[in-house]
Amino acid sequence: MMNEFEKLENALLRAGREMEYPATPAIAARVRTALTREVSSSESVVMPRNWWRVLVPLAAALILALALLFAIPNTREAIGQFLGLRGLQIFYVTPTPTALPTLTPRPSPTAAVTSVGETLNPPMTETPRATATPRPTRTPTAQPFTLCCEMTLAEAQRRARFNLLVPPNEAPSKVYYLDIFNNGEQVVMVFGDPKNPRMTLFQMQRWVYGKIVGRVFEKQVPPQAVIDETQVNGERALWFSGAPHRLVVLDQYGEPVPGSARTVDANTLVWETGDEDRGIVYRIETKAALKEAVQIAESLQEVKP
Amino acid sequence: MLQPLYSSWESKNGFPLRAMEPIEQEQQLIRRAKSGDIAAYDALVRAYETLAFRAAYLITRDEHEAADAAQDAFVRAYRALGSFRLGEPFRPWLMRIVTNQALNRIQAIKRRVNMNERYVKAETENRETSDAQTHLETREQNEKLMRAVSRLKADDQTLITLRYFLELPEIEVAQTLNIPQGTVKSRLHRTLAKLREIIRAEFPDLAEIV
Repeated sequence: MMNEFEKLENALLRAGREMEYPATPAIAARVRTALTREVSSSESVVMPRNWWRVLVPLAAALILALALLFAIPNTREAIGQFLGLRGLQIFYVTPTPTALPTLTPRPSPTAAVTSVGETLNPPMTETPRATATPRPTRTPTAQPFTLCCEMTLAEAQRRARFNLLVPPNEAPSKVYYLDIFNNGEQVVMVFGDPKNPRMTLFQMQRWVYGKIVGRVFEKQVPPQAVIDETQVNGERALWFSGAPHRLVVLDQYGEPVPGSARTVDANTLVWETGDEDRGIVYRIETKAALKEAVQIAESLQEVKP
Repeated sequence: MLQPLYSSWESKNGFPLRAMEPIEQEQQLIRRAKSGDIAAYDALVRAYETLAFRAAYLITRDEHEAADAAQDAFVRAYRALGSFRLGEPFRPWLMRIVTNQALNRIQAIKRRVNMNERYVKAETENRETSDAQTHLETREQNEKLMRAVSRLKADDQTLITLRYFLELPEIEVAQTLNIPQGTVKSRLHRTLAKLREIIRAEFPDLAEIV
């Protein structure tokens, strides 16, 4: 017996089967990236804007608890993961206990991240130096991973799928472009003498995650890196100073890109722009102090054609 | 007469529209994903991404919206895995989230008409750039039929999409829409009747299929 809608149903079925769908995009990869980021951020402490008003009464107890917990290396490492930006994960490595006295400048008392950083580092017992920002001994020597694909600024801008930023009155002495396994792009600009650069500016798409690891020296000096929270154009930024740290580039799945790890022996300012999925992570490695680095960061402007 | 594809679930392009894993393996993946194993969930996403994307595309009529809707749906599904009962069928549970995400996007951006117009335009362009001589009449008929379907209310379009374009069995349509199977039957009947009226009034060329 014929269904009264049989012809119509068959026509609908045929239309569905003959429909030309767009190719399915890489949804699994996008989901994996989102979930990896979500899981990572869910392990973080999200501070409200007026966090200190809420937490001040608890601060003393918290610091005491942290001090006790830091006796356990694994806990120390886990707590280090509280820090970071959307495109940046920070891990502290477990220091080897040592009696070597080293100086840790006091970070700003108003910075939430600094408060944790201060707790992470051993309390200062020696007379502090006069300078608030420790000067690195040298700027980093970028390794082959970073320094591949030298080209002109114009060529780098032609290749990059985002607008590159440069200081208004200074051209880079070297420009490198890197497409990381087609997963994202990084552009590196060196300013000053390439052999002893005054500043190195990194610009990379956010889905190429940066991962900074606190450095344990061969001499087993406790990590002295200080992390200050600051702002660039009103957006949260982080300032690393005081000691070298390790930088590892991660792919979109959160896995380290082989050969990308290097030691950064410079003060480093890190900030981000853009939306959740398609932002840019900026890093300035410099001999300059925080204030000057922020001024440079805020002066950056798009490359003029 | 066309036979339903319920058992084969292979698209004309050869993409599997059904999970490649047997039920037990799928349940095992879900169990692991529920405990936070993202790799296990990744396998589930891969098995269903084409179906989810196509369902979202049929509802939104926009490739980018569909991709975003499918992605959001998988992320939300992961978060909601705690409420998923092991042993229950996963596909309709997932499809419910996908269709809700796609419908939410339409409601949020309130541009359904534009989307339909874009879809028809895209279909026309596809037709012009592909083999123009192949099944031209059928293509035109399909295009008009899609236009007729787009005249239905969003809920009715979703019903048609799930049942005929994606060829889900009635039981899965019911599970996806969270309504009794009997309601699916009655709603399908009413929706086809409405569609027939629309075709008779606005697409007389299609009279032969009604």
